[in-house]
Amino acid sequence: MEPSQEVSTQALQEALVEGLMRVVAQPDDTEAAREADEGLRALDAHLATTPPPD
Amino acid sequence: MSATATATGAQILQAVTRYTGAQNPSAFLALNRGNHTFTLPRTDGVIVYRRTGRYAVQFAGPFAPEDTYVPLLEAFRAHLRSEGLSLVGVQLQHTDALAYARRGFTVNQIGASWALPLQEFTLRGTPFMQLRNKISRALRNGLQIQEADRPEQWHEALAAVDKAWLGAKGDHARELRFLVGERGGSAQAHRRLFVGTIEGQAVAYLSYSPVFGTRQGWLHDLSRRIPGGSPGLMEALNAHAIEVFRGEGARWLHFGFTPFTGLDTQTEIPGHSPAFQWLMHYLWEHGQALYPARTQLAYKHKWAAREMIPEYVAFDGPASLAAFVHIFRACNAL
Repeated sequence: MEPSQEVSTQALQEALVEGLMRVVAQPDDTEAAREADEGLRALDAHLATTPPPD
Repeated sequence: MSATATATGAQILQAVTRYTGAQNPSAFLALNRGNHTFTLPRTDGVIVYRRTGRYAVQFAGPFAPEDTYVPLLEAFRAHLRSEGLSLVGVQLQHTDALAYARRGFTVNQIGASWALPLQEFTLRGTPFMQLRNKISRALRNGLQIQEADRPEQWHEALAAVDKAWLGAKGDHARELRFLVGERGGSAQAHRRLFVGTIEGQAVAYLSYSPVFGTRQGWLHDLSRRIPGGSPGLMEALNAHAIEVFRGEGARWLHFGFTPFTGLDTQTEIPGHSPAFQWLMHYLWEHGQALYPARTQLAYKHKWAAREMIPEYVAFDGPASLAAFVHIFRACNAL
């Protein structure tokens, strides 16, 4: 995996965890829910185009 | 088709005992008080769920025969959509997971349940030395164990154990529900309850629910003890119950579902979310604050309960963190 892709994967993973924590703190907040789910889809899209680790 | 709102306890019991195609070791929890049910007129089977926020959290797949499984599921989906609710399923078994994926759900492994075959089980040997020592200490400290023939007679004493147990967990402690065992109610007649006393005072109890299907046996599903006091109370109770069950010819002791455990790439379903898969692995490593999965699994492995049964979450559409969080909300974990 290219270093820039590694950074990107890590950044998306961190954003995903932060999104989860926001939803845990406010489960009825539809905006937090929407952003968290966008983060999940972003990481899924990224992983779909990223070659697996060597 | 119009949906009926409520199945009786007898109907739910019939469904979980009769429709065991998914082999769900926790199926008996469908009888927990507070569960909603979805049924269709003149259609065998029942769906069990809880409402939380804008979600319906379904416990397991439909308890239904093959020919009504999908019609029930699709009618339930349609019913929820008409109510503006989103469906998320939890503790689906592998056959459920495949069925839901075929119907367009995004299905991921969320954890596993753990089981112990009883036929050859023994506490002899080095691996169980610490366990035997703890049991011995509890017995030396005066622990006496009995199976409660009349559980209702123990209600007050065990309520006191519950209060002490929950109180010790701190002001913000929450009593879990939905995906955990219960005590009392009409389902009590089908459970087994073992009580530990020291000098006549109840100090711990362990409740087991029946498990149906090919891994027939008992589910270790609710355990409480007073804080402090003798070590080994729970271990002694479980060891005693195991010997009772083995004597009756029971083949399995199930220790139930723990999220984030037993995760395996090989058990994921086609179409799963790799991002959600990563998150489950992350929560296994770092998620103790959300759920103490490592601590729970350590107890199960102490008994060599290493038969791993993968369990799944199903999202009606793409994977969703909000839906995932509402599972924990339905359990009163948040």
